[in-house]
Amino acid sequence: MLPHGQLENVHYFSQRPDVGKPDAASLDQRQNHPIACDSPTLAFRPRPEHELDRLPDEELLAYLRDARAAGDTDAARTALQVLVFGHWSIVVARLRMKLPAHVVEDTAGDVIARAITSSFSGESVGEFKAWLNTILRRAIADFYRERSRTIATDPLDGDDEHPGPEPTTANAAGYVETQMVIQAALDELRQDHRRLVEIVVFEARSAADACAEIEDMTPDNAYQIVRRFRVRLRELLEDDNG
Amino acid sequence: MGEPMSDVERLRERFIAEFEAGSEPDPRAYLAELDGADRRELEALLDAYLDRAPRRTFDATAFAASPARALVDDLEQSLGGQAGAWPVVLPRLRQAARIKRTDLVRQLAARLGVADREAKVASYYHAMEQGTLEPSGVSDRVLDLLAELVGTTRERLREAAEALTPRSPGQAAGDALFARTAIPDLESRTAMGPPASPAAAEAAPEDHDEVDDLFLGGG
Repeated sequence: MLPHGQLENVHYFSQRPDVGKPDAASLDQRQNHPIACDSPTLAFRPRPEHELDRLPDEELLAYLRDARAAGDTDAARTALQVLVFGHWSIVVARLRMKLPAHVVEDTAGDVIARAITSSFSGESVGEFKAWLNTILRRAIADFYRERSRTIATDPLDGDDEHPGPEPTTANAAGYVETQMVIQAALDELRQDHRRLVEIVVFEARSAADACAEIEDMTPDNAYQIVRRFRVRLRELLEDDNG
Repeated sequence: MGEPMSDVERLRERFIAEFEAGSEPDPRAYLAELDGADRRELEALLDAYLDRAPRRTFDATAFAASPARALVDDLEQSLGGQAGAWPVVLPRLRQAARIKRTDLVRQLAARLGVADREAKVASYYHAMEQGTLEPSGVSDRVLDLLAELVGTTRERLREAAEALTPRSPGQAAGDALFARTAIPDLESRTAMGPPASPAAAEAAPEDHDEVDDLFLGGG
């Protein structure tokens, strides 16, 4: 979540103070990886698509770097396809709720490209998904900041291909406020209840899954906790809306 | 758990079911069914769900028809070229500015004062979008004018060019690791003209002129 103060204009591939060196976790991961990432002299083993599909983002990126270093064009392309395709629909769906239709696909491409290329330029981006989400939020904020400074560029003839309402929170502040409301509702919960809400509401998994994961949680308790959270979220959203 | 399901919950569950089945439901259509606080609640819940959603499983058929494919092509070009993220950034800036490549080149050549050598400017600009032109050779004047045309700044263009490091010296341009595989649309192909390469763009010594200096001489 980005507090208001962090909504500075983010330049393309800007350097952040916390970037430049790999973190300990990624170094460990690379050392344990069967393929040496920075040494094209060691053997690179291409992996089939279904194996790549199962890799976490960070390992997939490491594999992509290895393939590139080894000059294995096909392997690199396959990894890139799996990574880009895997995130494309998610990013597009989120942007559709926040931006006018005619800028969604270009912005989605820009967001994913930034996330991938920054991980190639030596930046330590931490967890890829979190980094991608950060870039996405900044892109939304940048769009509304730019729009407030320039004349509207919306198509004059509307967007017949994608009918639908304009975004509900048609400004950066509104978007960030909604996210902060969710965070505030979560912050009111104790840790196990919060995890329950994460599983059932935000990860869309079953209450049975949650009960299996969280100690001493019963389906009845899970139902009550989720229900109270939803009521509270609604209250906060209504308060926030004035 | 016998309470009737609210509209918000019904729509949330329907969206997630469709999304997890591999289709691409448009959340705006779901939001359009609600008003006021209901709509805001649904939007918050869907955004929170997507924020945490795991990467989708690769589907070759869906990928072939997806705009994600063009992005992969551009990223390949960036990773294999010597111009950083220009192959990703330049076409998208141009599209966002709603300017065709032919128009952009015409205006760029005119503003550079070389309108009579538009074809040469086109060749160099094409090499920039393809990632085959060394960014340090492109002058600030070219980047300033280009930035003006596509609504950005010279600094951002320089940053994009430095976003990726080539695999090894001399292994980028003519020896590109990746090749563009997407079929460009008609407008792009028409605008593209004959294939350009650094070799084609760089003039023979006797033909060397101001345009070469602008795109190769730096400064």
